This record gives sequence, structure tokens and C-alpha cells, in this order.
Amino acid sequence: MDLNYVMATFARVGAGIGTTLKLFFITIVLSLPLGFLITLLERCRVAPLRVIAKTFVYLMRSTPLVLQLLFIYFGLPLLPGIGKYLELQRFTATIVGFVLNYAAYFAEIFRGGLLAVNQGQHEAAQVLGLTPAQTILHIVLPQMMRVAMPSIANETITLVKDTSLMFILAVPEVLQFAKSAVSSTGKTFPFVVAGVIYLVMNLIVTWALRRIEKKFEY
Amino acid sequence: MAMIQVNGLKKSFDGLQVLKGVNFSVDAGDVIAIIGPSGSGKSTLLRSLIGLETIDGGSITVDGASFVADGVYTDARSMRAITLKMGMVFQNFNLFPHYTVRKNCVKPLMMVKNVPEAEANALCDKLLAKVGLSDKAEQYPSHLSGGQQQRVAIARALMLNPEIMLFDEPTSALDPQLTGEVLSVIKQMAQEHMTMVVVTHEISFARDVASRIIFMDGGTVAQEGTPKQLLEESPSPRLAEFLGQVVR
Repeated sequence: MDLNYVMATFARVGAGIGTTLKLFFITIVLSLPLGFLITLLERCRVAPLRVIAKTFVYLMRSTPLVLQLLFIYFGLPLLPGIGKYLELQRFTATIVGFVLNYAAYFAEIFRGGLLAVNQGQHEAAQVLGLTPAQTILHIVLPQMMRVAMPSIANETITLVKDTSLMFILAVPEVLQFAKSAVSSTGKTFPFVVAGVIYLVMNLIVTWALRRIEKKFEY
Repeated sequence: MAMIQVNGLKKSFDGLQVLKGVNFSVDAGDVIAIIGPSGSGKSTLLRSLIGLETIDGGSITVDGASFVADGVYTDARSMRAITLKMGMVFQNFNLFPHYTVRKNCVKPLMMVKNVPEAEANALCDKLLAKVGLSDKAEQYPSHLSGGQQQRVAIARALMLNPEIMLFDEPTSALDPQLTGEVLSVIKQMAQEHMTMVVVTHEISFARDVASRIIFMDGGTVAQEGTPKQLLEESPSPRLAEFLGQVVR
């Protein structure tokens, strides 16, 4: 195995990094706020909204992400009536699936974080005249995040690896390129390269998360 | 004129009536000590005054404005305005743990009354000096003793310039040494004629500082009067029994 071959394989498999990172960042940016919204819905006063939020979380956490991706891409267009408006491109379908799935997990993490914020904090904020929105944003959210950060970090690292599930919809990303390289050359080395790429990505993500976690310490 | 007027206040938790028609009033400059056995409704009464408990019946008027009339609350905006006339100090301090002492004080004022930061900081420095904690401004609550935390909580409440201060067992979570430093701050406020309602188990504090004592028992005001009347001249048999249990 010469250096040129190694470099060429990295270049070939690495061509998928762009798509992988794109899915990663879009999912993180959208699913965190959506997850928090779902957490708030799970606790709101309107009973039907609570039921919808809880059912959503149950469905998303209790079925495989791969199945959800297949359903969104192949299943939705088959729905009677509205199906023709739900034909998504492969990558768009992937994003929808990932965002919904991860939002459900983050919602559950935030729920735990909220339980850790003492009721006395709400009372103190109330008697000091803070509005409910100010209380959530300035008092509850920062305290909740400190508790939730380690679990969020864990999910984020899982997300880096889960991006490889795009594979099921044949979206060209790292694992997809590795597999086609293995098929065409008959060598398994491209899989090793894919592994190294995920390791490096998570090394960076882990480092970044640790820095973010420090920001929420007090 | 009465700063707080309470008539026929009723409150139940899950069918258990905790307050059974409480009547009392607080005049400007009064220091009212509410004493009584556990479960007599003292804390519930105090929390009802500032809207932390929703009452089932009766009326509460604060500084001439109706907070609850015959069990019907005023609109949300008026409720908030009335609530802001009062400051509250909790048994467990309830400081915001993610804020420094300074931010605990200035942030609510800035958020609620849009006061500029420099002005809020100046007021904060003044009040921290008053409670003897000027050197702790940049510390986080977790680095302070319980007594220090409670004094910060008092300063934080004073930041919003309340006309009435409510204290819910302010020293019950403190050991005797730290109790003294908190009570001396409250004493100082009494000398400055702040109107205060203090739920407390510290009978000697009630004797020294209160202008009137309210003895709660079984969800009603069982006896009320000056410390001299209640503690020396004519305690009811029930009050005498209670005092015998708490005064060591």
C-alpha cells in the first residue's frame, strides 16, 4: 500500500464530507430549538397540544431512524390527496427525518433538564415581576442547559455517526463513497478511511462541545 | 391607611381547608410577625398576598388597589403592578445560581423596569453595603454562606423599591449564628419604617421588632395584638401552650 493510494482513497471517500457536515449542522441548528418547543408543548396547559407532543416523541423514539427516512422519502408521496405535495428530494427527505428524530430526543433531554430547575426559581422570578417569557429565557433556560449539556453532547456525537444512515436513501456521503470504492477496487481499506474520517470529526466535535459546556458552568 | 387589607381569605389544598376565613390588616410602617404551629397556614397566607397561591374566596386589597375581590382576581396587568409593590424573601433564598450576586440584583430591575445598567449597578452597590456584602458582588451564590445568601435575597428584593416586604420564615434554613446576621438586617429595615410582614419561629425577634403579632392556629387568626399583650399580659391558653413548646 503506497502513499499515493492512501491519498487517493482519502480524496475519494472524503468527497462525501461536505454532505455529511451539511446534514450535521442543519440537524443541530434546527432540532435543538424544535426540541425545546416540543418540551414546552409537553408542559403547556392545552391538553390536545400535550397529547400531540407526547405522541410525536413516542413515535420518533420508538421506531428506527432508517425506517423513518424510508417512510418520509417513499411513503409520504403515496398518501392519498396530499401525497403529491410531499415528494421530497433525497437530501431534503433526509434532513426532515433527522431534524424530527433528533428534536424528539432533545425534547426528552430538555424535559429532564427542566425538572432539575427548582420550583423556587419560578417563584422568585414571578415575585420580582419577570414575565413568563423572561423567566424561561433568562432564568430557566441557562440552568436547564447546564444539566442538559452532557446528554446533548452525547446525542451530538451520535449524530455525527448517524449521518451515515443517509446511505439508505443513496445520498452521496462518506460511507456511500467508501462503499462504492470498496466495490470497485475489491479492497476494504476505504472502510478504514471512512472510520478515520468519523473519528477525526468526532474529535473536533468533542473538543467544541467541551468548550460550550464550560460556558454553561457557574 | 391600611397598606394591606385581608377579609375572609379562604384556601384549600385538595379538599383540605388551610385558611378558613382570615381577616387582618397591615398599616404603613407596621412590622407584623406571624407566628403559629406548623400547618397553621402562616406561609400559605403570606404567599397568597403576593399571588403565589390562588385563593378560593375572600378579598385582598394592597395600597388601595383591589388584588382579589370576593375570590375574583383583578386582570393580569393590575395583578403584576400590585405584586411589584411587594418584595418577597423566601426560606430557601431562591437566588439565581447562574448569576453573580451583582447580576442577581441588577438583572431583574433592568428587565422589569428597563433601568439602565449603570444606574442599577449604583443602586446594587448601595444595597449590598446596607446588608454588609459589598465585597461579595462578583461571587456566585454557591460560594456564600446561607446567611449571606439570604442577605443578598433581601438586597435583590429591595432593588425594586417595594413598599411592603414579605418574609417567609427567612431564618428557618439557617443555623443560630447566621440567623442573627439576617435578623439584624431586618431589624434595621424596621427602624427605617419599612412595612413588613414576617412569618417566623423566632419569638424573641417578634418580641423585639414587631409592632404587632398575629398568632395563627388551625387556619384562622387565633389572637393578635402587640408583643406585650400577646407574649406577656394575656396569651390565650392555646398561645401559651405554643410558646411553651417553641421558647427554650
